[in-house]
Amino acid sequence: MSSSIARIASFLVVAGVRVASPAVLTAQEYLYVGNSLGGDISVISIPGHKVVRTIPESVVGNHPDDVIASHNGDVLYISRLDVNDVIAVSTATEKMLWRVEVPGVPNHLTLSPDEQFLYVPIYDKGLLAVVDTKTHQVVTTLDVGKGPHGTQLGPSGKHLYIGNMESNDVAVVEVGTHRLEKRIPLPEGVRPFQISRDEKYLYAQLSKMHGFVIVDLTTDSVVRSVALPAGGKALPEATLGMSHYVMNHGLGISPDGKYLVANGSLIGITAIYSMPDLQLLGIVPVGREPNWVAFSRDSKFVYVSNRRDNTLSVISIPERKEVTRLKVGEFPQRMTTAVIARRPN
Amino acid sequence: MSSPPISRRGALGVLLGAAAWSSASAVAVLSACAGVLGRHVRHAGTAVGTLDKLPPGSGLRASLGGDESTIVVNVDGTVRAFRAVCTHEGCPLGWNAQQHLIRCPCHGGAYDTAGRVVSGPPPAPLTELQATVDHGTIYVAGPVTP
Repeated sequence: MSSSIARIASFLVVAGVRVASPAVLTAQEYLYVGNSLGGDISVISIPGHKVVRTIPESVVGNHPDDVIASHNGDVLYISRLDVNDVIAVSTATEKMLWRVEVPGVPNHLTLSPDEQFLYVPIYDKGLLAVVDTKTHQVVTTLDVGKGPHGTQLGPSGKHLYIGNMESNDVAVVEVGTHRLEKRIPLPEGVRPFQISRDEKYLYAQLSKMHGFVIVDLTTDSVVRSVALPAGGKALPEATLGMSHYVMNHGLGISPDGKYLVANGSLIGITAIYSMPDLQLLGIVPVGREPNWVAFSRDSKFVYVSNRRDNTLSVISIPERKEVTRLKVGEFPQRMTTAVIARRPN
Repeated sequence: MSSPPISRRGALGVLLGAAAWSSASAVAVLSACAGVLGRHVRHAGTAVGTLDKLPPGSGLRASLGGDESTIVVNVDGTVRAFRAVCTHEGCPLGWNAQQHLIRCPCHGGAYDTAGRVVSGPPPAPLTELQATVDHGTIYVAGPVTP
């Protein structure tokens, strides 16, 4: 019952309606930062930008890879690398609700439009696992290519896009049928990517490119490459000797659709571009090895996890500058925002 | 001030003790030299913890300064150390105490306590470092090379 009240209060506040008894429940936006080595999650208030809590390793652990939130902010879904599973954690209690084993190493998660299904790319098996969030079962798996890593739902809600690191392509799955529609070849391993609002273009970072490419989804071809600025720094030698390395990791489109933000991971910068014309608006120095981006829901702030120095950069998009840098947990990577109703402490 | 007299038996004992100590020392020194000569040491050892905090079957992650870190494991009383860098993409590695495995927080690679790849995308085993224990303190130095 309290959960229902919380949801109603959350809805009212998000809708701009003042809740009659704010002393009982308040809605607040938070950023949840998954600390992959520490095994915990830092909880940061928005717009106060303070670390207010940590969901401990005893709840998460096992090297979390991705963390995403349900649309109403009640549930976090977390993929865990060590134990090949996904757990659901309540944002109200910060306890585990349920877990589901998946058939391999799970990476970046996406929910279906109706939230019935959770899409889980299985990196080491070349699979997409589809989890029913009601029954907590894997209902189907399908071959999508080698090294499936990232997933994005197209804005139409009809197509799921999966970026493959090893087979250098993007698989497209029909959401209604869970059928593989096609695979779009790209020049290199596909890292973070985004889809334009009209679902005509896909923007993708590639393993060995200091920039990103733009794919026309009507012709399935790369139509433009955008080189990231070096920010006055020399690009360091790639981590030679590794079978893979990554130049950049972290690409996002702001909720208002006006900005595209891209991390330059090897040189510690975040670049802000206008959308859709991709004019470079600013280069913001951040921490070491920026890995992911997330936005406040009002598109005023973009958050960048700096995994090599265990910090989070808070960037004001209108000001094009880092307004604060917070210490978070060990090796912060993926993160998500959620508007949730919480009881005051 | 004169020293107390030493009996013949006492003198013999001292001589035998000295000889034994010398032999033991010589063996120890030779062993150490052989160890040093037999293995290339890149830098001086770094204290990473104490043996009482690393019982058999356990492991720990420790900094070696800067970005360098190590995973140290105790396998049935033998302490081994590995460079905590995944051979897949260079991510820092962690120790999973429940699984007794060295794990990568980027793409899920897993290594056993001998540094061998158990699962996931890593293409090669881990680089082993030189681990020594002196008076209960564990030191880790440069890579072990044959």
